[in-house]
Amino acid sequence: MKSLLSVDSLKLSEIQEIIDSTYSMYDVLSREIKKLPTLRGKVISLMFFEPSTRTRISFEIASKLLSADIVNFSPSGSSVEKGENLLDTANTILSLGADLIVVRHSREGVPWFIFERLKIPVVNAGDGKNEHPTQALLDLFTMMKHKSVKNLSEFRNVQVSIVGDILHSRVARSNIKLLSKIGARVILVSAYTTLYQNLPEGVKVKNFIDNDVLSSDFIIALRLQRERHGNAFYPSEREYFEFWGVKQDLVEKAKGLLIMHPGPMNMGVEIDQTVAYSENSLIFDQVKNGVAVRMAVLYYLLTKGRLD
Amino acid sequence: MKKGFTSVPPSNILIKGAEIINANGRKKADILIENGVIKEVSVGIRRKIDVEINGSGLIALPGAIDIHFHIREPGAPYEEDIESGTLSAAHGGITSLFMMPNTKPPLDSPELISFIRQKAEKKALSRVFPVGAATEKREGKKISEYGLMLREGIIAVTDDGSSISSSFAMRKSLEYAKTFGLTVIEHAEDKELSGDANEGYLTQNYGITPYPNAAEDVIVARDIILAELTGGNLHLTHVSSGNSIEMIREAKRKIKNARITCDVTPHHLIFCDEDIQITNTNLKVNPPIRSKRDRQKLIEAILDNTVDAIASDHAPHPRFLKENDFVSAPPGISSADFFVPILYSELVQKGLINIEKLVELISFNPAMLFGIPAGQIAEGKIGDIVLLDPDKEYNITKDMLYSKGKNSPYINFKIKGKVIYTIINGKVCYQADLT
Repeated sequence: MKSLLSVDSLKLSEIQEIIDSTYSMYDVLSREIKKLPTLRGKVISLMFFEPSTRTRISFEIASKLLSADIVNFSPSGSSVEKGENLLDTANTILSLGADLIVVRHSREGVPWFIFERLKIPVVNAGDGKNEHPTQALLDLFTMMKHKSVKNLSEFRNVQVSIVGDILHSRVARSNIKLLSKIGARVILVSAYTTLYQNLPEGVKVKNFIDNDVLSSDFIIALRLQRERHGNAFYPSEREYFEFWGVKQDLVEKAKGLLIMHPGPMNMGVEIDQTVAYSENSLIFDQVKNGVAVRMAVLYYLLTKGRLD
Repeated sequence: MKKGFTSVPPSNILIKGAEIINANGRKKADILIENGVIKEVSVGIRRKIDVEINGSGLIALPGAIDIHFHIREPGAPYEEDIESGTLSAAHGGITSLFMMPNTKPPLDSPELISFIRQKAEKKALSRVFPVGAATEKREGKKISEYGLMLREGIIAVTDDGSSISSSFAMRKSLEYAKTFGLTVIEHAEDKELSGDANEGYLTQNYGITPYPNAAEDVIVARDIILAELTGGNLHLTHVSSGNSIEMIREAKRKIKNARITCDVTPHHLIFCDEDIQITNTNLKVNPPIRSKRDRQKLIEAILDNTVDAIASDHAPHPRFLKENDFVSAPPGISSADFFVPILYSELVQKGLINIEKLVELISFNPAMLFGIPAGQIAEGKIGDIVLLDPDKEYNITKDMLYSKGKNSPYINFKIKGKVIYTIINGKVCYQADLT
């Protein structure tokens, strides 16, 4: 593994290794001096063609804590505004000496394109509606840490329900793949307007949050991606909240159910603010764990990955 | 399951000695209705009860469930309001009706469905099942709030009066309706292809803008393809084109993952375009009255079960709009008042179908398709029954219509078969004046 483009290419042993390493990084983060010298002399370029807070900043902190130098690229203020195409832009970054590129783009497949043409490690930080593998890894780590398990085999049969706009969610797509791969029980809850065909074997589909869903260990509420489709897939926010919103009364009914959300949240649409800020919420944990996971991924790709 | 909205409170009644017709057969027996529900169907029921009807010489049918009905409220209650519409329905043997949402404003929100419910609970005789607009403002672009409207009591969704024009919105409508177990009722018409009269007799003789079968066929074809893609429930309403009915027959045979059903209207079975006079707009309707050949194909499709239901498409219009030149007059026929008698007289008496088949088309199948506990005279079903005198002959005159719309092509029809009682929720809601 020289790149992390998709969850598809991750072997179980690699996932385990990244989780192990994330645990170590997590410990580093609680030290007084957090910095490691591991990636000194490496240049990481963060190419974010789409807005991002959590993902971009956590990659930036992760790189810095590993002592890599970073080059931040964003289309505004760059030659992209003068009409430079994607390949030329990426090549320019490469010529300037990047060792690894972290890329986010609104179009599906962009990370593959860059990896194939530039032949340097690429991390997919979200491509359109397709994948967001580091989010899936940090979600998995968050859940494992919460359950105090370190070995993937101990996570088998944990039940995770993913609720909402599955079709437009790269977070959902990566999570479905990763969780199925390690043998967790996955339930998708969505209207047929935002489901897709050919799901991995064993993934259950439901239209509404029922008792089966509420008996899950974790619920991942998804962001309603209004910016991607307007209201063409759901009629209105009030109807979405009524039927797919993760609400306080539901969480109260369930015992020990924990709530996650990749952020940014639409309060009162996919999640009730009472739930988001409650003790059943792991939402802010997720953000913190994101740094540790990204440290592990960057470390893996720029050291071990090369030894493959 | 909400059983439609009506102002008629549940009541008790005993019907003695009528010939009971169900889709699967007939028998002579008594019918006891208690608290609005059929309690017993057997010979020689003796019970002291508020109301007893002597049914001898009459036939008892499960009340008709008319899955395509226009009431002009909100927007134009002077054309037809819930009271006049449901009274004309009861008069015509219709005990449940699906109210189409092409009112002004269209019924595209839970608030408007709630408005209809409240009105119906005060004013309706027949049960009113509102059908929600499939898209916002019935514009054919964005799906509306099916879930919230379902909570207020919609039975299905449709953009009737138009197709769901955007193919993408149609896909999403089928998917979203399926999520809530709802059916999408489609009025198949490509407005860029349609006109004022069937392409043929009238358009050749008078140069009227043609409305070819193709205007219906292209949408029926698209919808069948999208039903298969989505696995949704598609109901094609007022099918008029012979080509369309052939596509539907084929689709029903081939496509197993989706439920595709259809209805036709009485007028497309009774008339053909050669019956239309340019000066009589009472046969101007959308879709238009088609050729003899199309009519023949619809009848064949009834006989081989391609057609699931017959629905009135009751569309009342005021005189000042309808008494106009052919092109200017709005399409639509006021057809509720004699719905069951006309079908009985024109289809059953003339030997096209037997009366059990008629019950299947106007009661049994609609109840099954839309999950209404009716459509049969049997224990446990709701007490909605029509008693018909099968031998009574008479001429239909304009003053017999309870509908505010007098735009009926059946005026001056000589027919055989008269509704004597319409019973809803175990209560007589219409009784013929036999003096």
